[in-house]
Amino acid sequence: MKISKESFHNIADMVKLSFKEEEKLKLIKDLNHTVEFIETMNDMNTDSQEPMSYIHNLKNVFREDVASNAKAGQGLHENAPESMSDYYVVPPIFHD
Amino acid sequence: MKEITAMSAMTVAEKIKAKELSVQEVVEAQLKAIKLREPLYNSYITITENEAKEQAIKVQGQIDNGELKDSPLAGVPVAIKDNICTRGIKTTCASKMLADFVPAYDATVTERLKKSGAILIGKVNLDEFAMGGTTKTSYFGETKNPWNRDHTPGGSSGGSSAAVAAEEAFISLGSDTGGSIRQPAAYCGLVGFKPTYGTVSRYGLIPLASSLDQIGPLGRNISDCASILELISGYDPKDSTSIKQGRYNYRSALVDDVKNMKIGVPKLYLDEDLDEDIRSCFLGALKTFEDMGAKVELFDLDEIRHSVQAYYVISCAEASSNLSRYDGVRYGHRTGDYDGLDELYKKSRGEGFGYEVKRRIMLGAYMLSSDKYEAYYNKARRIRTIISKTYDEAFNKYDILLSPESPNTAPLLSDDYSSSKNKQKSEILNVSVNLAGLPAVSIPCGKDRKGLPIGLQLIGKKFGEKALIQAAYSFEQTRPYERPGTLVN
Repeated sequence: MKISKESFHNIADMVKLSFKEEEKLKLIKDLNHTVEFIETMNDMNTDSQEPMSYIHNLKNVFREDVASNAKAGQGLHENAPESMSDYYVVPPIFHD
Repeated sequence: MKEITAMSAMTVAEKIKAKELSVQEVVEAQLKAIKLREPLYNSYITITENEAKEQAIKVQGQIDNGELKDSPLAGVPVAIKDNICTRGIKTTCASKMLADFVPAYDATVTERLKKSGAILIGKVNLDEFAMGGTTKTSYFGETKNPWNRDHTPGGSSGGSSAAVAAEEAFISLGSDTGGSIRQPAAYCGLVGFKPTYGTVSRYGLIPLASSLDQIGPLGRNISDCASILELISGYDPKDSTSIKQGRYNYRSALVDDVKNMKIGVPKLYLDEDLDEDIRSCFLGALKTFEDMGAKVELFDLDEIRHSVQAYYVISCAEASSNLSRYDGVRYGHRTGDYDGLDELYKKSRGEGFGYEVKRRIMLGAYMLSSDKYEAYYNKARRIRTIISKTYDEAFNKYDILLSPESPNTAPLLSDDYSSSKNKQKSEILNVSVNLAGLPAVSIPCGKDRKGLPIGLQLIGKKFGEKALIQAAYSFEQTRPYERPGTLVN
């Protein structure tokens, strides 16, 4: 089994996800099944190939630094679960 | 006169232009059909009745002034998949996470449609965050197939396909990461068009896998799809992956002529375990193209055989990164009970995402972890290079490629589709196209013995949309659009 209970917890901690107990067991089984399937790709020789990120050869796109969209930020706070004037509200991060 | 909502988008637009119909009349007829059929199919998450009525008055004024005389779809109601941002209108991604999210801006495609006088009639259902092929993972309940309500309309753009097939919209927009436009179009007897990566701006499309996602139309014929594609295509400075091209006069390719067109048929697809009805329909379609003067040839495309594996790795890796933005702070669901910031993140995300979304985030993060990165993520990206080159070589020989869109027709909603073998097979036919960034269209080519539609996939070379449109249009002349026989009036 590639993904043990322990490595599952490590990944879950990294991606900030909580799970119900029954969800965990099902998912560990599912993930291992998928990883096993994915590994069937290893029979293909890819030694001389470069990894591809995008199908077009992307280059940096530059433009003149002209201010625009001055109002783009407006209304964004309205979707926050909790906000105060122009700030998002989060629980305290630093403790005594 | 034929029922208004049963007309094609282009026909309605022409009648509006000719003053045979008013925009208000068309919008009222559309809303009436939605109210009548929506309880049966659940295509929509949000119906924008008031906005559509207001827009109808405005657009009628613009048409009367002559402002929209060059716009092919002025006054036509359009449904938009609910992962595409619409200013002031809820955009939920069919997730509890974004159930109350109201974007402060329009996606570029939304903006372009509004400018061209199309009427937004509502936001349509999908699998949660576009992850799935059935709409069954939607937080707002599954959508039903208008051809048979016991079956899925496909997915993830299942609301987009059901709405158009049920005549609850003339045309719709979907998004396609691994077949999510083409497969639902096939299951609902429609045309579904996935353009070349970079053709349509992704600005305002809530991302699943950024290097694979593309927005495209679902319609009742290729002419409607070509028209709307013309409106939404084009370079956008807000999307750094959008491509500068010349004119997008796709309608000029609506020509009934495939004489001497070179068509390749990958043997790999024929070797697949296809339903018997699909195989015979597919072979029938090949014969039709031959009869019309095209040169059809079988060839070997074995190098794409690991497309699904590579797709799983790349799409989940990108998704896990993209979905890290949902933190319960800036927008989206926030848990009611937490102790400290870390728990706020974990519980908000744990409650806000469904099982399939969590599965993909976990898988993606695993593949991206430092000791797995080379073995999985880079391996998959190297295979992607091979797939892309293999297709490029094929297009040195052929103008377009043909395959069945799916090895089966729409499965029953009661099937456990997530674990079925068919899902994997269906993905082989679809995902390699996204990995290579190619354009592809699914068009109806018959029905199985249960009366469910069968789709034919046409794949083109990069920016080869016009060849696809011409081939699809020619085929369509031999097989006019058929509506589901079960629609209530």
